[in-house]
Amino acid sequence: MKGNRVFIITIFMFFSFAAAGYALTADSLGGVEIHGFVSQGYLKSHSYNYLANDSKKGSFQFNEMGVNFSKQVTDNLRIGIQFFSRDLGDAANNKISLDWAYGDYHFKDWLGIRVGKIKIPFGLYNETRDMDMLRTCIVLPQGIYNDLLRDVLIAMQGAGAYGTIPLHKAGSLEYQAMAGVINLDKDNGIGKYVESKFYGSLDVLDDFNTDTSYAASLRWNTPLDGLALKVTTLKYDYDLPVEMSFLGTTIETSVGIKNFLMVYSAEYLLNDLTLAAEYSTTELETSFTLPIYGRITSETKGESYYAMGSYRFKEWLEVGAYYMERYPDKHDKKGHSLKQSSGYGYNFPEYLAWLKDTALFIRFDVNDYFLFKVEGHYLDGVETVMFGDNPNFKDKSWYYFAAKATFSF
Amino acid sequence: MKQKNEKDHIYRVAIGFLCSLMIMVAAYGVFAADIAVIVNKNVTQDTLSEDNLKDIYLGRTTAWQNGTKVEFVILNDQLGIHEDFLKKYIGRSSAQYRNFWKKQVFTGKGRMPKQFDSEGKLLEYVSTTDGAIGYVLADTAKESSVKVLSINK
Repeated sequence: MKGNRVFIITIFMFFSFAAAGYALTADSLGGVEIHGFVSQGYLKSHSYNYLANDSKKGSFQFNEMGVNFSKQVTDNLRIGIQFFSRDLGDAANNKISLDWAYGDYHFKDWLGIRVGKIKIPFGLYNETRDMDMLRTCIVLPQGIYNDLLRDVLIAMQGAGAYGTIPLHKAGSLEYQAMAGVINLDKDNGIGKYVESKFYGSLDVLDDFNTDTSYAASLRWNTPLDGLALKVTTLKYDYDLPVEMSFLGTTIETSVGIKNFLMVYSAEYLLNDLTLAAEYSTTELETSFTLPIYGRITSETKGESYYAMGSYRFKEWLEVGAYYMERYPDKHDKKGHSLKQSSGYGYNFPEYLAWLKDTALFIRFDVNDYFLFKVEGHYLDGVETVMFGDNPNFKDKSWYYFAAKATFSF
Repeated sequence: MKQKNEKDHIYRVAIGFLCSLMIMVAAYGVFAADIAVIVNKNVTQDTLSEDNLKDIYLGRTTAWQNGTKVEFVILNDQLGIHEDFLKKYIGRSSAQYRNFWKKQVFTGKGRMPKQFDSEGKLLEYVSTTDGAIGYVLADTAKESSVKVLSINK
């Protein structure tokens, strides 16, 4: 709690300096650059509590803030660190975390290494998902960028290599590859997500780490000006310590998760127009051990995709839209098998097998440091709606609104 | 008769609009062509391809052929030259370009480009900094102690 207060005071101190006209430049701070952001949002949903557990009545529990310090130590060596805090309903609750912290040694343009806690290059937006000012929409397509699973995707503690390889007339290739462990705090969303996916039949007991995880990305900046194609992959597995009810008793066991994810992305920038589309696949293996039954394992293959476009009409006004579909089991897109598995007091409607999200958003840039956004979502299906926040899935179609203001420097 | 006058009026407005558009496009072309890419005189290269220039301003190329570190600088985006330079050579609007560098900053991969409020200050920096590259209006470049690069397709 004390740490939180210090963090928030630090953030506001920097903003006060910035507002007062002090230049937080590298020159005035011995070569150290300082940048930061604070976003405060509001969520209001119909039918379901979504993202925040209290969004049906309107929720301000929707914010992010961060501050980073970096220094170019030599021509080749750069070091930096970013602290981060967020709130998303009853998850995260503005705990402070080390977002990234690494040393970056740049040997050549085609080879550099990074060591420390490094952001995972997953899809087009994962590395910058917490910085609201770097995109037009407020809520990213949840089929790929699920906000409760942020911590699984955001950064790994380890080492990686990166570089750019010129292809001359064929453009250039940018690559990143890394290996390390992902630290997971059960209160930052992952615990809530797993408990909801097991329909409240278990409780996650403690924080945990993944085994060694691997991530890689390859981005081709094509010869067609503004068009880039990217493929990223992430592989992780971990065991969650859980407590579950079984035959009238409570047992402690673990749930094993193995996931292999791929994202294929395309991005096209043409002056004030931004277009993006992504297709993602998941191969998820879930297992747990029960007395009598032994190890129970299930495997599902899921897919998600979306297309998004935005246009900046004025320096201060940008408008955009996206359409997304997500299917956690691509072999049961209509939800027939899921519905048939209802029983034991649980009712699984077929529309639990998908989420189709149509979003419209507007961004207003007041100046270089302050912006405001509003957006509306119309949804079909309830996949990614948390059972823990919504014991009954009674509506197939529903909607929600979001607004967010962001200061950054 | 009244309908004919209305039609004539619409045609006149449409022709006027098209002429204005053509003048704007022509003016943009002339204005954009007047930008000079300048480097410190210690830079040994005399020419750059448009792709090389883009790679420099997107941080993908960080050293000149002789190994000197590239120090690229920009003008404040309130000055029209910056937007024209970005559209002509980098293929991005100033908002997209600013966002690109903010992404680098907030993921720890880079720092915001050094920015100047006037061509004079930028010229002075480029003329006195090893490996520096920037851009100004062609007329401004003539009067200074920097090298003007030839940019090839």
